[in-house]
Amino acid sequence: MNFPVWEVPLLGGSLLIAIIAILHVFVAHFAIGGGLFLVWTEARAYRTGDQPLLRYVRAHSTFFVLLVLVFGAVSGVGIWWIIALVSPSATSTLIHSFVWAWAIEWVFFFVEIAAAFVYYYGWERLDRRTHLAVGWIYFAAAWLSLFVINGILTFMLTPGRWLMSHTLADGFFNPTMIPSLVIRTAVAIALAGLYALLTASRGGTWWRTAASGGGDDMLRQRVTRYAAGWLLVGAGILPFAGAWYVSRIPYAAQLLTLGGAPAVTIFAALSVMLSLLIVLITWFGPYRHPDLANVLVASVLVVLGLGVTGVTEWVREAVRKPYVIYSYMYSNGILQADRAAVADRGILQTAKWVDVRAVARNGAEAAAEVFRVECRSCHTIDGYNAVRPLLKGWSEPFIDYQLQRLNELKGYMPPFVGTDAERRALAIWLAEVGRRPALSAPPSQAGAVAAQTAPRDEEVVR
Amino acid sequence: MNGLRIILADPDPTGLPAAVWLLKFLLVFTFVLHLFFMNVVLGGGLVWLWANWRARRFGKSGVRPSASSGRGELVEPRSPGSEVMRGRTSDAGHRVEPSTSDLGPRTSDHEVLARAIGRVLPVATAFAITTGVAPLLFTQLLYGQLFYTSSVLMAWPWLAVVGLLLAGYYANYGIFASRPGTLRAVSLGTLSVLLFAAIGFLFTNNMTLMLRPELHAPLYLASDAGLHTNMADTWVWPRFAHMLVGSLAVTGLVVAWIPRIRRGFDPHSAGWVGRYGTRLFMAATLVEFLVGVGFFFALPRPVKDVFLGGRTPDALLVVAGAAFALAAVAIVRRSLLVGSCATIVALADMAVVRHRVRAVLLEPYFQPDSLPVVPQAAVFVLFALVLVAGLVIVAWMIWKFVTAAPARAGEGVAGV
Repeated sequence: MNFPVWEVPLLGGSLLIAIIAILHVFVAHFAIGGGLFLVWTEARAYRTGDQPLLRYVRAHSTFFVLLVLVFGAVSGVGIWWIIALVSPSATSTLIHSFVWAWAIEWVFFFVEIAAAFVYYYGWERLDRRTHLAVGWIYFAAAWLSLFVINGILTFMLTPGRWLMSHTLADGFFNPTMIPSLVIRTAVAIALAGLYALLTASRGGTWWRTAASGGGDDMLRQRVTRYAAGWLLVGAGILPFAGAWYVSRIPYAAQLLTLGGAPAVTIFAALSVMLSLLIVLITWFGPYRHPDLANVLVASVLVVLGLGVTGVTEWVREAVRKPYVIYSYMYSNGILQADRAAVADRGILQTAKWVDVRAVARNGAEAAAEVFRVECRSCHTIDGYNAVRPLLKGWSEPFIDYQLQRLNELKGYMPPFVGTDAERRALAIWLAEVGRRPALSAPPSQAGAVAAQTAPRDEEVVR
Repeated sequence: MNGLRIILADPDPTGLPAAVWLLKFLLVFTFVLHLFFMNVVLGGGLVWLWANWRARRFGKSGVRPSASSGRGELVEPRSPGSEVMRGRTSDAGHRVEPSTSDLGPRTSDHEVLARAIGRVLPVATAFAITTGVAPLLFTQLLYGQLFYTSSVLMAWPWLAVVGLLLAGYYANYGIFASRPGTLRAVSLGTLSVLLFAAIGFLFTNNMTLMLRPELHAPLYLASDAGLHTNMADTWVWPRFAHMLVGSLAVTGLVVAWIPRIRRGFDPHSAGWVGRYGTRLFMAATLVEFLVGVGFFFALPRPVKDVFLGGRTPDALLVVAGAAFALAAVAIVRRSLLVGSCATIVALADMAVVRHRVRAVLLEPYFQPDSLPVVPQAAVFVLFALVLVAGLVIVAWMIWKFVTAAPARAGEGVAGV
């Protein structure tokens, strides 16, 4: 409402966020767990005098650097880019409320990157003790970076006492902050194992022959089993941490996962089932029979892991609806506190970036503006979360009835806020959208809406 | 459509978390850090491209490039200083001297230069990103009302920065692992330069579009598809050219420093590379001066009026920036250290000038000083402490790394 709305045809802004965020999360957690894996395994190799294992760790560190430093870092920046484009108001609130937390996170990020380079280039240069110390510094900085971001991320679903105090501490140390931190740490450990399975399984063609001269199939099996152990340990923590987390989220959000919104329920179930599948495959495959593990098995697990990340992050975002910051700002950027004022004055009078200020002679154009301001941030006309298929066969009175009780009939949707005239214009416009074939242009000023919202004596121009 | 309407988003109701002067200082200070690294990324890519092009021409004249490959370094990172280990090579057109090293024949100067800058590129890219986060954070805090709007107006090009950056970063790792003089090296160099130049250009667009609130409403009401740019604004191109040439000057200085600070740098090429760096710096700075004059006259009128003497401190700032840059050119051959210090002062000065341009252009519409402030003093102190601790830790790691003796094969932790 305060900022212009970017129209993303077919995909919709929220899907763009999801694509970038899911890929980032899948790599960023590896950046943390993988850092622990590297230094832990390196220390273990020194302790046991296991030279081949050390060579594997070093080869794995190349994979780690190329994935984490580049893709992890850039996709993290990418999330910032896309949320600022799709939800500028929410991004602004997050930055204003937590700027020093972001700044602290930035220091950790800086240390993390510097440590990663020193660790990677230090393999041949630093003595063992210093190299391990740098490895631990990397992991500590990476985990602290998660610590900070997790506080801000969980704030969005459970702002807690911040709603009253608006202080950083209240927002940061919110009800789901610690359970979520445990979940994400466990995910990081599991992903460390998952990615290690991938590099371990390539032993025959890559790190083993490159570094140790080849011929040691037992080593590949040993590393495979070891990596599987990491995955299982991380996964073992998840059910408990997950239950703890769910018990702390708002009741309305819990209901969404338990049938309140079928898509959310299905995705939540998928998250659990895919996670179980990963655990079963890992247990009966790489862990119990490391001799049978290969690149294909590891790749399947990586794909399943990406799937779990995708559906889980989607559910985490979905249960926050109808808010982007719970009980504070709706998904469309309208503040809950402004609801009455906007209803009174009208959305077209309150929103900044609209060209039509009243539903007078041209209802279609006004309704299109209302749709852009109130609905666009989640919906497309055709495409992701499209309205056209939902409206098929709906009459104007029925749509108008729905709009009047949007938040009651569909708990995950914000209420319609605006005047009666704006709502009626939108209902007529949406009905027309529903009547038109897929991918056709939305009703314009020459359409039916103009006639129906204009004075009765106007000529209807179709 | 009402093309004359000016729409400005309301300030965030949360308020600013610290005094405006502090946030402005942090914005400009962290921008200078970012400026340094991003200049090295873009200028370094250009130097890499040029050096490889030269090395490639020599390769074509019958002398093959380095026999010992620089490839595979990502698998087995070599210690800096192992240039002398890189093999036999060309050298037509340059001093051909037998190696005094027992590690093999020497490498051509251009190859040494290419390899030296190629090693810097991935690290510089990482720190260009890292140091870029902070100024963007403070920009959004102070100027979010304009920045978010201009970003939405050019949403697709702006979002493309992320993809371009990803590709450019991987290209720079490819450069790091490339053998100088090869087609691959030249191709990746071309790609890197194009991608990072495009990123710079998109940044120039957004950073200038946000200063033009009078354009925002007409552009948005004409199309909400997020495909606008600010290319029609006449000062965008000179501003971009100013950044581009400046990147070569800063890279010249970095190149001049490399043989001095890197242990075991090929002694045959050290003098040539050092001279190359200072000459590049001098030439680029002089060109930058001319571009700067052109840029100045392309500035919007209110800015020109202010800097042409409307406000003495602002006019002095511009003069001081140019003076320090020219002083650096005059002295750099006698003292690289003094020349570098003068350049850093000039860079910081220009960052302040850039900030003043922003303030002057926005003055009629928006002043950050008018924003409500709700200080978060305790968390700021925590940030300051974490920052100091972080810098100490980074300094310790770098010190350990630099003072550690470069290991030969079979030494170091991995060679046990």
